[in-house]
Amino acid sequence: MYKYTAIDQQLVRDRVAQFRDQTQRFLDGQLPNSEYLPLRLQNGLYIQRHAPMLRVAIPYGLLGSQQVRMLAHIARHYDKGYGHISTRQNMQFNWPVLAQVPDILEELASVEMHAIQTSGNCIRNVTTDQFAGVAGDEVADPRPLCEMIRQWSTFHPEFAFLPRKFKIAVSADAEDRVAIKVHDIGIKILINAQGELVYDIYVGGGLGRTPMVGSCIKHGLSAEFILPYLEAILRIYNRYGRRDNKYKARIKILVKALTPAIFAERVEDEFSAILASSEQISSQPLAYFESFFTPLIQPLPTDTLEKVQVELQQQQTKDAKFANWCVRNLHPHKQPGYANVTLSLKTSDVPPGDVTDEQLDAIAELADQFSQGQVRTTHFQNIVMTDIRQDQLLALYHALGPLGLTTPNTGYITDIICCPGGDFCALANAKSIPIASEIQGLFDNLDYLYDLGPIDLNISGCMNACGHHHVGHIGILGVDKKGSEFYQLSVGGSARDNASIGKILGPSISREDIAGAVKTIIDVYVEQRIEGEEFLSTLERIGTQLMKERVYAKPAA
Amino acid sequence: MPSQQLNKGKIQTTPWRFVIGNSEPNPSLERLCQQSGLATLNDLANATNQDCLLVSLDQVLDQVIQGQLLPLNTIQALGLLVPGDAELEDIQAGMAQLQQLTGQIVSSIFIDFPVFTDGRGYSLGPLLHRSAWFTGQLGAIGDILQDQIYFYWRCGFDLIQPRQDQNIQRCQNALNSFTHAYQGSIHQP
Repeated sequence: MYKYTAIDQQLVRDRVAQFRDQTQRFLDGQLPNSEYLPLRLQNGLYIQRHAPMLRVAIPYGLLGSQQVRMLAHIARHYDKGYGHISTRQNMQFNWPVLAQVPDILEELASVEMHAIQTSGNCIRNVTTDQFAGVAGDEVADPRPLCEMIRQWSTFHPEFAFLPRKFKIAVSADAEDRVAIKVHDIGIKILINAQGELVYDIYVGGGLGRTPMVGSCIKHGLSAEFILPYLEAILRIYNRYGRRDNKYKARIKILVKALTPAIFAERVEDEFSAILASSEQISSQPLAYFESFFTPLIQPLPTDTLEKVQVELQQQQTKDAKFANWCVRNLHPHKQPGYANVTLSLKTSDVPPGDVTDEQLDAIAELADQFSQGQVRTTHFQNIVMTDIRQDQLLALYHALGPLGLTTPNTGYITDIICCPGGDFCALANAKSIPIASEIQGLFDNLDYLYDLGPIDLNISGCMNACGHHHVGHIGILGVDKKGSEFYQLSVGGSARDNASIGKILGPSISREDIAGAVKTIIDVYVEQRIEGEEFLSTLERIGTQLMKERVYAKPAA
Repeated sequence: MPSQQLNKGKIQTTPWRFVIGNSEPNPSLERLCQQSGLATLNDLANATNQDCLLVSLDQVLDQVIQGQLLPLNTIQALGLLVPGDAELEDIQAGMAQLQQLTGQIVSSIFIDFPVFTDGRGYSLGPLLHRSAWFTGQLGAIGDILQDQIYFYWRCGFDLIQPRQDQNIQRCQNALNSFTHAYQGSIHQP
């Protein structure tokens, strides 16, 4: 993983000193709230429903065990003993005391962490595939590019006051586990006909009030042109993005208004001008960043490989629950004899994506023991451990069990993406966490759960769509109807390469009925599916009519 | 207390004054006067060879002002004030016209930041720096606060006119907020 140089370290130290001074001036009454606001946002600090919320950056989801220990320490010492993983791979703390935040940032800086630009109208955390570097289907490790973009965007002086927030995601596989097509900029890494690595640039995707799928405005860009090209996009957006209406200020609105073709032309003109000028977008070449992301494990010699695989098979035969966990929560590693494991943070008794300080400390230990000292956070709000030798999986499973981290539901309907919602967030129209909990309860029979196949269920407490409800196969959106909590139901969304926005089924549904409505949709699917057909395919075939009828059917008198 | 500015990092008394040439109220200029604390010159006939005068782009296009700009060919410095969303062609045309009317070279272009959260001017600065037709100094004026000084500096603004309630020494200190930077800049490619 990337290791800070003296320069990186000094930058975060300087930032802590700067924010400490700004916070002190604010608390002393020297800095008005309106002037402190963007400063604290660009250090990840929100003022929320019950308490400030601090969003710590986890660049492209990667954490070393020392960093995991620090997050545990912060949860324990400054918060109420837990943290929450967001859909952009960051970690949120819901209860810090404002005056202590500079201290938190100082502690984070000691382990090469920060909360820089995780909020505010600036370039946010660059996200990527949770299996980056270890996935068999990736054309290249996306993380070197993510780190290159992270550095270019950090404290970029021109782009600290954009019209609105700006989110970049990078994927390197055909499936797209990163939802690049619903980001402000999505970058897809490909191999061209000549066998070279090239980059397709998508812009103008996004969720929220006006969900849109992004358009590809540049095909086959080569690595040395990526930063100048991104600079051109951001410059056009900074100059021409709308600033008159907060809900029309994202780049997707500009791209749509100009049309993607015209927007692409404007970017191309600026890009050419940048290349022709003496403007320096200084950065190390991509190869420099690649040097930090070499494989953590070695290929196994053939006889060891055979032994390892046989051992695993025997263990699976002896322990049905372990075998099931292997089926549901393991993901193939590009290196035979190794596996990647999802630690599901989706059980019905905790809010989706929450992890306690005890769990974090234990995960750090297990990372050192089993996964080369590293873990990842995922945009599905889980944690992934990679590079685990297959004959170690049983020991890991036994260690994870008592921690409540072996729920075998990765990718199934109870692996819910859910925002903090009305319980925590001042922006929410309705609670989301209790809905998730109730739905998880309806699908707690594992045989039933697995029979349904993978289903993305996403829940947002308001139109800001932090729960990505638009791109769920089933999406739930909390709305406020005459002061009561109601929920809008949508179906058919997808965040993958076949990205699409879900269709609203009908009028919003009451708090009492929403979980049942989801069950009804699933019942229709089960009833109507052809052998082996997955949810989205059935939906495509039969349409939404029957589901709509059943969900909104008046109960028999 | 006269206004102070940062000029290439040094604190100095601001030599600039706004030109208020006609009797029509100009809300932008009024707001800028309030924010910057810069003095104004109402009657251009009183311009002296010590004066550094700022004329705004919309004033250049105003016929009443145009007629009054002739006395300006003896002043010390002439600057053009532009909004953050101005187009380069319009700035170039405005600059040419102002130079033609006054017989003076425009030595500085000031970009107006009406509220500090309006970041458009940060992009206009580098664009102007890149333009072959402008080789003068770039200035930032308006809602310029201590905590953004570092960004103005790194975007190539040699002249920084903080809002008049800001402490100039703290503003100067802010130029050194960070020891290093990830990006190249006009001052440190």
